[in-house]
Amino acid sequence: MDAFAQQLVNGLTLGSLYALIAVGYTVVYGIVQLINFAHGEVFMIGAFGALSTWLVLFKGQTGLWVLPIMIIGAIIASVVTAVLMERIAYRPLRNAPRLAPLITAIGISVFLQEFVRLFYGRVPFLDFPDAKQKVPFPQIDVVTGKAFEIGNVTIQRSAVFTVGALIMCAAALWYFVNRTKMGRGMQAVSQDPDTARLMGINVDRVIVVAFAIGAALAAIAGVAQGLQVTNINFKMGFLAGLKAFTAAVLGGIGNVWGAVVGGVTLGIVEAMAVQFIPGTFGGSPWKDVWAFALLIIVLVFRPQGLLGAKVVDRA
Amino acid sequence: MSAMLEVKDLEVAYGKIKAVKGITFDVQEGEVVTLIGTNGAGKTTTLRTISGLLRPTKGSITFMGKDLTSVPAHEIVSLGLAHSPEGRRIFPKLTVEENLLLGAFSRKDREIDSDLQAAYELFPILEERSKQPAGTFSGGEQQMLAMGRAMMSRPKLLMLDEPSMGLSPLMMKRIMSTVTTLQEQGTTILLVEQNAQAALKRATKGYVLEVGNIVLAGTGQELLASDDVRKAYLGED
Ligand SMILES: Nc1ncnc2c1ncn2[C@@H]1O[C@H](COP(=O)(O)OP(=O)(O)OP(=O)(O)O)[C@@H](O)[C@H]1O
Ligand SMILES: [Mg+2]
Repeated sequence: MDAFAQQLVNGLTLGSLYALIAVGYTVVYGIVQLINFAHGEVFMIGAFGALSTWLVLFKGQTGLWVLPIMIIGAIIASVVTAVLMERIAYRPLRNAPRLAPLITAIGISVFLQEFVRLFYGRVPFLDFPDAKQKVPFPQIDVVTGKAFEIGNVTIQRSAVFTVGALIMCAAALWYFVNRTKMGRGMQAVSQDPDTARLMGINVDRVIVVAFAIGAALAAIAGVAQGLQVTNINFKMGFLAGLKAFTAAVLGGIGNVWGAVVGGVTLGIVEAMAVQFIPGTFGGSPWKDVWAFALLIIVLVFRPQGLLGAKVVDRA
Repeated sequence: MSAMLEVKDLEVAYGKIKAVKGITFDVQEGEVVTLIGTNGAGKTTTLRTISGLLRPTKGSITFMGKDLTSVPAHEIVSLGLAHSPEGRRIFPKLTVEENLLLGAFSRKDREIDSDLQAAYELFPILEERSKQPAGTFSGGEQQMLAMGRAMMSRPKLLMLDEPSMGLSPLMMKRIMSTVTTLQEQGTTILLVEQNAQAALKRATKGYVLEVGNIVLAGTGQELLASDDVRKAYLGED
């Protein structure tokens, strides 16, 4: 029972991280039917943005008050990256065959990884560490440090931060999508872009907003990851991005709540698989296999994902 | 007096195929002008070009003195030109009320609520079902919603693309009489219809479109009386 509760906590933590990133895949897909495979790198840039903010403004400080400013730094770095990416790389390909933006995304992804790897330690006038290997991430009071113990279950402080961040982001996102004019405009564009334009909605602007929202949540995930793992690196976006994409598809790509449900489900399944699958196929080396197996099973029986609406071709 | 909408030598193509081949027509303030024609004549293409969703290869579109051919589609509705598209195109997953509010997306004034009430007065069923997803509506109800939504922008000119398509005779009557009501309330209307009889009866002016060309023009009464129109569109010999 303890083992189950412990894995539930672990899974929820992991899943919250996936969910925060998965929202970015799904909002962009919902608006432009584009899979932004460089979104994992937006997450990575967010982590580096937070680190840079700390190094420049607060080096040596660990007070909780620096955390909000680090988060803002992370969000700025990620949003700027995502918006530039949309403007420079994706917008010119809006009417190109589907394969073109997909290949472009892979190019951007490699570019961003290599850019951070080669240049992070060489920013002029700033004494940033070399990013060719892992870089330590600042450990902030309250959200890191001595874990909570409830019975025999250990709950890391960074885990509480991650799950809390997901809950707050999901609530803010719900409010934005359902209660604001821009949110309603976004829903309209995702259902029928041409008619949305007849309503006076600037589709280009909605697309930028979609990229920015996804980037902001990925940035927060980047901070959460830094706090959890205590270090960050230029490749961290690859596996996290792939898992989050899996989560988005699992939940039903294009459906924002699907991304949240898909992320949490995937995290819990992974954690449970590590603990409860016995023998050769159990343990952590196999967890990614079970994660993708789950994806395949869901796609066979429910191709639209857990929450996704059936995709109907537009006339 | 200059026309509210003036379309001159308009040519629109899909790739190499010309769908509209140089048409000229105008709409004066207060009129109900109808474009009639068989399937594929180019009626929808014309309206979508006026709205900026398609760009002409030639010709000009002037609305209240302003050239529309270089205005982005999303800026056109705020000039006072609303378009209720073919097939209604309501947002199925949004509620009826959200659909109506989207019609007022480009407005910033404080009278949106009173216009919402006006839309509900025009079509009481919309108020009864205001919280229902619009996708659950029947075709006729969706058409009422589409018209209500278009009116929410307070248009000076309302373009309706086949509002009676696929409706029961009763519902068709209801929609057509609303067109008259809107005209009486001061909205100028450009009405595309296959139901030539109903459209021409209400029209101050009509144009007959055939494979991208205007082949006949006249007042509604003249066209109703014309032999060619009676043969081709009213199913008489
Ligand atoms: N997206 C498109 N791509 C290529 N050709 C098109 C496209 N849309 C319309 N056409 C062609 O342009 C011509 C005019 O079509 P349009 O839809 O404007 O006709 P319409 O008068 O509205 O017909 P209907 O009464 O059936 O609605 C037709 O030959 C049609 O096949
Ligand atoms: Mg048509």
